[in-house]
Amino acid sequence: VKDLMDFKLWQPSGIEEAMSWLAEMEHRALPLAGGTDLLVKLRSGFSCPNLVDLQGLEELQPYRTGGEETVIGSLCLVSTVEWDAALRSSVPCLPHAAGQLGSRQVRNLATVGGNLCNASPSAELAPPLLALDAVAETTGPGGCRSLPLAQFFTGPGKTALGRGELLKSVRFRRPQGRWAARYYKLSPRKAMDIAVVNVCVRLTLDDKDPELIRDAAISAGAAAPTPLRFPAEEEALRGRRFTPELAERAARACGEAVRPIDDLRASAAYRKEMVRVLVRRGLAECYEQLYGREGAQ
Amino acid sequence: MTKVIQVKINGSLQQLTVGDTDTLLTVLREQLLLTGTKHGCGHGDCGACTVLLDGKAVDSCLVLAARTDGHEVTTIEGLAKEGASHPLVDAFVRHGAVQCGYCTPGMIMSAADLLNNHPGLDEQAIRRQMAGNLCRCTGYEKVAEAILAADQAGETS
Repeated sequence: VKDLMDFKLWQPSGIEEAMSWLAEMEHRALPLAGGTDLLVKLRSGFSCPNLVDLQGLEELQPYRTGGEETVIGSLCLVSTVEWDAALRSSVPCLPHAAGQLGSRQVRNLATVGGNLCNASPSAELAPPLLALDAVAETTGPGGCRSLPLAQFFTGPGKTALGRGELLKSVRFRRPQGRWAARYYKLSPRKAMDIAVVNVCVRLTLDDKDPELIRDAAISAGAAAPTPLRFPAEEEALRGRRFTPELAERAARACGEAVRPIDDLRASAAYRKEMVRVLVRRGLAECYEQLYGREGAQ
Repeated sequence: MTKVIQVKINGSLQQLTVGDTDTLLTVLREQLLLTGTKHGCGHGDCGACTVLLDGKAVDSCLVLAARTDGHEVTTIEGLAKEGASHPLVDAFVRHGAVQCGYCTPGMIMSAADLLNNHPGLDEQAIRRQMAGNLCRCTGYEKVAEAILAADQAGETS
């Protein structure tokens, strides 16, 4: 079977070389991480004459989990995140999302950085990392930068990365206090599917007053040109007492705030409605986990 | 462009000349004539081309051969040790988890990774983890039974 792919594969000796090749060739080259998206695109008619192989670049694979701060290098495999025992116990929403990306064979190739830099509006890892206030660390010809992940996505397939710039890692601090988080992926198939809508909700309640909302983070994918947070809707929850009515109001506001598209997977109207449903469910389930069933009504 | 690479394939070190766009799947089938690994969809959806790369199940249609330099690949042909049948193969036969057989090598390689690296999963988790292997003949009941039985027998490595 002959492939239709046609490109030159550049294998750099180090990250400096990779960045300078990417900068020099600019629009004629793309970085290759796991390849599970890019090779499929190249086989389906998309063309790019040069691929710069990132495999093995040390600088892109820091990995620290289990402590106060988690650092995940952009070349870390999605399956590493999925099975990481420390992440499973400390921030289960992230490995839960990782485990729903593609198949195990794909997760053993696909990288965290590839999922984020591909910048699909439905990227599996975006909602949990956004809800954890993750920061993107980049490196490029002009030096290193840190930016909130919410500012990293600039459009469908577009990121804030400049010429020759690479995503080095994402990092986040473990949320403090009494908190819980939930990730939901809505798709017609149980596996091997792209999200119609995906949502992550993180809720922190007061240490002393079990009904008082200290902090809330809400994120969604496939609901707008980029994965997004809901700053205004989150702010409306902070410092208030949790009630089902409050959760419903916040969820409704999130559903109204998103700007999804109609496509073959779902209509825009359905996506807006599902954002509302999943945000409400997320708030209720986080609250229920933190407060106990009897308090959840 | 071509590159010379060294890959350990089924335990023996091979020196190969591969093109930039060659996939591991193409090289296995067309250079090494290891045709147990099947070409299905070419998009990482069906799992017929599953092999172990450094002990982990991957779709060989999504791996550029040039990137396997210095790594280790196991195909269905390399799974049996010293002529003895592999316990997973026995389990597939015993449970009748085969119909046309096209998906079977990929199923077994995927299951081999699962039972080596994540033994002791329940049936539901096994089914979820096997979602990347499609069977168009017969379905997944017997496949799930065979993998669960092999896992419980616990002699897959």
